Amino acid sequence: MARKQSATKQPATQQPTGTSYLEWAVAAVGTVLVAAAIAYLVWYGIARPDGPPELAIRQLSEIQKIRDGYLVEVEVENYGHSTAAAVEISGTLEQGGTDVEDSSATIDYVPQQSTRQAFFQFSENPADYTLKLRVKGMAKP
Amino acid sequence: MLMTMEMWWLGFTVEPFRLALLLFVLVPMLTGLSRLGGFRNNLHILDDVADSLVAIAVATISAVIVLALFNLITLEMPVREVMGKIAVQMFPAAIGAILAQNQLGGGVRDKMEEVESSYWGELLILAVGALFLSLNIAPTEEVELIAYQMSVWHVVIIVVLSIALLHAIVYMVEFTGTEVRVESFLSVFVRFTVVGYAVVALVNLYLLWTFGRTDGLSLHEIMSLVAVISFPGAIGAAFARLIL
Repeated sequence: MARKQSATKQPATQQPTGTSYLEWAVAAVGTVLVAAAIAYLVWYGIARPDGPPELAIRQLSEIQKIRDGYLVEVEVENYGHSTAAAVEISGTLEQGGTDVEDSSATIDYVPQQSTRQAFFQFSENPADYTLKLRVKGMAKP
Repeated sequence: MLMTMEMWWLGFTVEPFRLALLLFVLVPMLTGLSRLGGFRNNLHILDDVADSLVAIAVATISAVIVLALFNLITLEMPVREVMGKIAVQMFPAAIGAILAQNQLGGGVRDKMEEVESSYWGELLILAVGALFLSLNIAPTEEVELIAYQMSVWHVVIIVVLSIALLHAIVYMVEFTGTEVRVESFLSVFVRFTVVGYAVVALVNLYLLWTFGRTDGLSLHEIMSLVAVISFPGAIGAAFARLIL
């Protein structure tokens, strides 16, 4: 009640104002946004299929020649339902069962149902060898 | 917050129920803040509710635009990742929107005089001050790193120091404010400083839990974390009273 009394004492520019239709419209947008976010999160929390991260690695593009060797772009996809952190991946060039060259990379996060890209760099031309791609391990976030 | 990488990561690592609860708390909290000094002088509580929903709408749309601009959300990303990244930002952005209006909008000073007469209002301001500062710090890994490096005695000292700083600032506000209250040291200390620090600590514990920072930690480690984050939190809370 004290609020109302002192509010009326203030100058005209600070008179309490009602809420216009436009403001109510924006407020409605806000309501929808919060409600949608909460509803989605709760739905996801209930429906979320559990399980470990399931990572698959594949080569993306053609081998690219760079100044200091060759680049192979790879993509890691997480088909599982939890996020993988600090994902270590490696690519090995092989010839007749012996390893010729290694390259590795670490990806900070691969969220569930998401993909992340990385490059392997070799000094030998990967086209001359068999390229073996591997996901070596990951941490739970 | 939009430029903190831990916040993006939280978008897909956070426990969905905890994030939903945080958003659920948002509307009543913003309404309380708006009541204390938001967009305008409101006669009816419904107008405050409208103001906080407007703040949320503006905050969410801004967050989406900035996240898209930073290429942190794209159309190719799965819904879960995009929704998570946006939802994590809604909370700090909406508080920011209300507080910015407090600071930049006119007519705040007059209203704050009224606010200072309400004890619960002051506690809410302390809590929001702590929340706003801690939100920037709680998701980062540095909090954990600092907590692990500190011994028990470091923790004790940082708690004492936080309380002392909080009291110093509370005391300063109390006697430079428009209404000079003649209260004993003990009264101010117990009613504002101790309770204030407890509020700050609880708010921080809640935030750490929401972000999953307390999972799997021993009680001792949780307390160290809360003490570390309450150090800036307490100072933020105290200055929130001064500024807001």
